[in-house]
Amino acid sequence: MNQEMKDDSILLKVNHLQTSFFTHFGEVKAVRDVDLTINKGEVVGVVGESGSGKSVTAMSILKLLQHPGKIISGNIIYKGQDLAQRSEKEMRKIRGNEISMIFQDPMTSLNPLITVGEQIMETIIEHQPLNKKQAKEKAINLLNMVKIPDAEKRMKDYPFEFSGGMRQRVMIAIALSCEPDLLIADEPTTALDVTTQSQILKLMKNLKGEFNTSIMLITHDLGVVADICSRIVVMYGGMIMEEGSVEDIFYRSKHPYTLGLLKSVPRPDMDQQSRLEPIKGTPPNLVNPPEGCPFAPRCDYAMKICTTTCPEHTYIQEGHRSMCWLLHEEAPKSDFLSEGDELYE
Amino acid sequence: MTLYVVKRLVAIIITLFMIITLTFFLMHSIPGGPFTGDKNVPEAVAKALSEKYHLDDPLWKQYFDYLKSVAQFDLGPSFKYEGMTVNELIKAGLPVSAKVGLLSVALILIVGIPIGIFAALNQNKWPDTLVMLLATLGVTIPSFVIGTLLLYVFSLKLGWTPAYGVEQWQGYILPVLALSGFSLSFVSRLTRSSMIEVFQQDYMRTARGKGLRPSKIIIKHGLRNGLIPVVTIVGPLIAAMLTGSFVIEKIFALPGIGRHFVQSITNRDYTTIMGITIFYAVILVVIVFIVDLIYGLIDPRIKLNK
Repeated sequence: MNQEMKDDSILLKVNHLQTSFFTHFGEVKAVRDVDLTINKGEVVGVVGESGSGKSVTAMSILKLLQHPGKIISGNIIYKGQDLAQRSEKEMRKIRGNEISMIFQDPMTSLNPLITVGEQIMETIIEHQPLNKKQAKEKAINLLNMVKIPDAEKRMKDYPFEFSGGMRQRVMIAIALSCEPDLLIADEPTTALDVTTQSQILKLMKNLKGEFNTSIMLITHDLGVVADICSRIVVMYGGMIMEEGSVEDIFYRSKHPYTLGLLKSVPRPDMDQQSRLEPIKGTPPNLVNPPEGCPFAPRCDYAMKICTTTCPEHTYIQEGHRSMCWLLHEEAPKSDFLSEGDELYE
Repeated sequence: MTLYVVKRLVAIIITLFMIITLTFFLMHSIPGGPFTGDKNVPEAVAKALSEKYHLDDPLWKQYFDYLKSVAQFDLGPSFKYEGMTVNELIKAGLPVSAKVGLLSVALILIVGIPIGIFAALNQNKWPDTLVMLLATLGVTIPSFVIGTLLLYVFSLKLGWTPAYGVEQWQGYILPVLALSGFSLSFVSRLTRSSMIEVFQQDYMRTARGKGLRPSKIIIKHGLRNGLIPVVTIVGPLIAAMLTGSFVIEKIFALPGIGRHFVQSITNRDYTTIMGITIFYAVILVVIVFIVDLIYGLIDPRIKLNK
């Protein structure tokens, strides 16, 4: 891609990231050779089912993985410096300050014994030259911004006095407290009910506009990505299967796995008789993953070569790439290539 | 909060009343009396003694008389230690017992909890394994065995500490170790497992994600959460240590309250049995009360006004 050329627009570039967990059962290769670029002000969606390596990729970027997880190789270039080489002390200055994270379960992500106000203020005080009083003012502003009513009074409340949606708003307030350049949201709406989900998404969208923060949105909900992202990365078995703009993925997908995901989601235009098609089988075991494409065992179009050799990424056009043998010039012509085009017509 | 405290104080008084009543009647149901064991007591003398101590009164009258004097904080005269009241007995033994008890409590809090945190931070590495091995031994070996072993090694073989008494401060070392051995081990094991569990919680990940310093993450976010189960267990542990102190005071020949307690039972020294039971009961219920208050302070989810 030419994006390396226009360097100033790139905020984060992950190259050949490999992350493994060294468990009793062997090395779990959770992330295998992932390349990922996030531009300034961009919202990138990372989708995939559980265990596809989405969260581990995010945790690797912030180097939040704990024993037995470890980054094996690769670079995480953030604003020109490689985070993979940074010390823990240097990472502390970046976490919560330049790159912050929202987690999946707001019910457990806040400390139950500390007031919500203090949990926001401590991040501010850690990273900014503000005293307690100024930090408090800022925290109240943040709570107002994430639309928590009666913010000043609620500063003194504990997390158990908030609902799930309200807690996620608090998490967002914490994450935005130092105006980060990158916000990693790891399934921020998964644990919430649908109404709250849309409220939180709307809030994130608005705040994105206000702060011009880049967002890496991890989710397994395609509806969420379509709503807010400009680019989508589809992950499976610790690898990136397909990457492209929202239109590329939804209307011109060139990967059997992405198509499988799209077919398994209900669409408003479907007639009532038609059934959703689940992807058969289960995700691969990442301890000694099989040679070849990780999706091959579940793929309807799998060929001989798919089980023995992993395909390279093929660029369909600028910004749209897919890792599939079917796109190889010597591959037999398959009807699947046009299938993605019809899905949402 | 105030309402809660008042409620609890009423409950404490009822508890104490029940303890007094039960002990009083159980004690009197044991065959024999304070003066039946003595040889060659002329009948006239025995009668005079009974009269003097109102032992010839009907039991219910003795009971109400006793309640009345207890309500005035008078535990009565000792039957066996002539010329001494039970209040004086307790006052004489208290400094030694309190010192041993408080030192043991301090030891489990100041040493036990940090050991647990240390082990949790080094989970499954050799310092953790070593400390937990010792703690497992401490939990499983009864205090009188630890006491005897300590005496044998440090007093008899090495001669570092006196074998009995507390004339020198070194005399406190072994009793405190023996008395707190179980609780110390238990608290450090509990702190370790509790902290390990807390370290895996989502909010700890959040704290790291905020870029906080490790000391802040461990102490502010980890320790308070990790200590909740520890605080719960510390109350009963202190109680267990106090009851254990009878044995320890006997082994190390300490002039504390505990030794009177054991002797008073064999002697049927009614007032002393009652007095010391009440004394320990008060300490116990007060400690449990304080622990509950602390619990409410640590965990905002516990509302003490209900």
